[in-house]
Amino acid sequence: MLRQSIGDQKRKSGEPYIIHPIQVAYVLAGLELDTDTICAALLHDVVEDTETTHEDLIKEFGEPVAEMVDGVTKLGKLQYTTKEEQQVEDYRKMFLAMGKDIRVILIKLADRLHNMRTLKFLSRDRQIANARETMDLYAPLANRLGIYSLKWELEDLSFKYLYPDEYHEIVKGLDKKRDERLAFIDKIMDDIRDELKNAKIVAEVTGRAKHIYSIYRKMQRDNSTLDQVYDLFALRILVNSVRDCYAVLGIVHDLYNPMPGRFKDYISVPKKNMYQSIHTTLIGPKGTPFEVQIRTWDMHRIAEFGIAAHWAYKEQSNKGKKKAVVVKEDKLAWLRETLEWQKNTENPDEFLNTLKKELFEDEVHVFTPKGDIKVLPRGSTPIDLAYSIHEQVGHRMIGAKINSKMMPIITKLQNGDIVEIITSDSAKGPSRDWLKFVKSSGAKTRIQQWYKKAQREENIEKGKEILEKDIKKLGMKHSDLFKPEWVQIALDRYKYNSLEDMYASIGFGAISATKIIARLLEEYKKEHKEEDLEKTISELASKKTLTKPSKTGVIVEGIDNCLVKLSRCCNPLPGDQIVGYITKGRGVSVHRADCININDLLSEENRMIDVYWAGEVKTSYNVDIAVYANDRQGLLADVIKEVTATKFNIMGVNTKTTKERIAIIDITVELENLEELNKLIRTLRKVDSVYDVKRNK
Amino acid sequence: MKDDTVERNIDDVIKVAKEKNKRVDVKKITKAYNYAKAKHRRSKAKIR
Repeated sequence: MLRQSIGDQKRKSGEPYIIHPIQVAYVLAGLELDTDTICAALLHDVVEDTETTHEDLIKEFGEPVAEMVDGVTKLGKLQYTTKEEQQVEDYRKMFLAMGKDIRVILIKLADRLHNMRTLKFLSRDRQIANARETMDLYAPLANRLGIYSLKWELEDLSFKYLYPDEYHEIVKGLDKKRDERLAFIDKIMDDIRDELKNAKIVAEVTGRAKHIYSIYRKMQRDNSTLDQVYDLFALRILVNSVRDCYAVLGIVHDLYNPMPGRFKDYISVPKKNMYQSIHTTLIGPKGTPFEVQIRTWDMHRIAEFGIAAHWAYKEQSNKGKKKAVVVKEDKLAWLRETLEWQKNTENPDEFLNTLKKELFEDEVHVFTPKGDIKVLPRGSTPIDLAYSIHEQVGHRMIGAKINSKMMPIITKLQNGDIVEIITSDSAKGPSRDWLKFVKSSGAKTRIQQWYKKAQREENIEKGKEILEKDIKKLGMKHSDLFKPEWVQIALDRYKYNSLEDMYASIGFGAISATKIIARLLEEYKKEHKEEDLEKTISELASKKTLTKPSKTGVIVEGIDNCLVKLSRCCNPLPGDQIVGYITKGRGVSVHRADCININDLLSEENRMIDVYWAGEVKTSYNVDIAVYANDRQGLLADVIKEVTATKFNIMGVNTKTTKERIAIIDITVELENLEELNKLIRTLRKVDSVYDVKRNK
Repeated sequence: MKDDTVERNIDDVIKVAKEKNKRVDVKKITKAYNYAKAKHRRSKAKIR
């Protein structure tokens, strides 16, 4: 093979790149994962960073390894308009890969963990960006999959880089009283071990430290200092059976007084990420509280390794103490629902926001009349419950009883509610309003799908209307933007098969018309830049003189020496897009293209005229701006000082203060163009206690 | 917090993999390691 190398690929730390795949593979080996996963971890960057192809990997290592590597490979081929869209597509690909093979996300998490462990070699900006992404998505994802051993470390590392001062303060505080705490916990562990031995319960009693970010969260939540956080150290008791768990609970509650309200039984009601344990807080010697977790060995494996435990045990036999852990399919129901829903969501903002909610979501447990327990996102309604039972139950729902009482179907459910769904065959289907109240992605998906199917024609017409309206607001015509080749670019960009699909999507609300228009405008601007150049050249060639600008600096297309007035309702400035309106007897009135009054004028198409700014005329224009700030002494003086420092003339000032102590300062300044206005707005935003500056419309 | 400077090599990976999962295919893992190492070495130097 022809060598193309200039040298080894290196990490930012200067080490050979291969160090990274080794570390990723080590993490996964520690999670007891299989051969193919470890191989995929070692190879996870070869396709992206070397000349190796997907087919090469299939040939050398088989399809499962190649598919996992493909799942992990970053997108980089498509151009996105925003970084957020790129990020969203990465997540979509991750979720899709997860649906095929969950091991892909385990590799991704291990990859992220090692990158976080070595983040010190990156610039501060990159540290913050990576840490933010890890805290917002990767740590909650690890939590969702029940892999606490990854979750806590991802959180702590992110916290270290996002809030370094707070992080180091906690570390310092913990170091100070470490010996004292250890002695305290050691004594309690000895006492408990003696009691368990007397009761002939086989158990392992260990101490565990609370993680840094958990401590910080607790301090924030309870508004307490480090000294006041009592369960910095806690105990974990591992036993062989569920029966032993409850027996141990009885013993510890006998030894020490339990703290009221601090008991949680996740064994009988497991968390959505398969976590099971009993948590109880007890009052120890000298009134010091401490937490105890009680669980079986099997539960402990799942708590530490989460979904990874499922893969490990699949391969092992049933012999010996550790039995195979059968993970029921419904444990991953949230993942399937998310995958289903994301197929129908074209709006990347919505996908990202809902994804974040799904990962962070708290839960509520309710019962059906038959006594089946249902776990739903916090804030769920009977509508969410209906759809979690079956799609048709949701579509035919007409009412709900909560604890035997008829209640509105949008009532937020509470833990322990017994909920009966009332259906009717003659129900006309879900209401669009339900989307405002449901919390689960499953319910959203099914309602949206119903509407998509049932109301496609209506959505197409609605979409066309919305698009037309928005184009007119720009002072443009449909034909200006809807050239077939440009439309095809927009369809490809947002993955629509046809124009009707796009209209339906706009009408349905899955995507905003603004995004489509923005894409079309990009093509329009490219073409018109060239046309403007050609126009200028041909005008120069024919020595045709341009229409002279008026005193306002505005040129009216094809008309010379007419009265031109700048409209006072929107005060256009050079740089603003403008439209002209031929008034009766008062010449041409010039408005900004986004003026709120323009919609009424646009209906009179024959009175609209093209106008544009003459570049060379220096004229001053009055512009009204409003400064919003938290009221304080000296505020007005500071604002005026900043305006005069920019050398713009102040033509008028008006101030008022609301009862919430918000100061609103209206200033009229004299400027030459939009650029000066933007500069002034930026300057004023920096004044102390100012939180917004806007141009008045 | 785990020490991020702890160096590991492929032998460490294999050792842990074998401890945790007796059915692990050491030969395949070693092959994957050698393949990745060679590919990352042969490609253009790229600081990540």
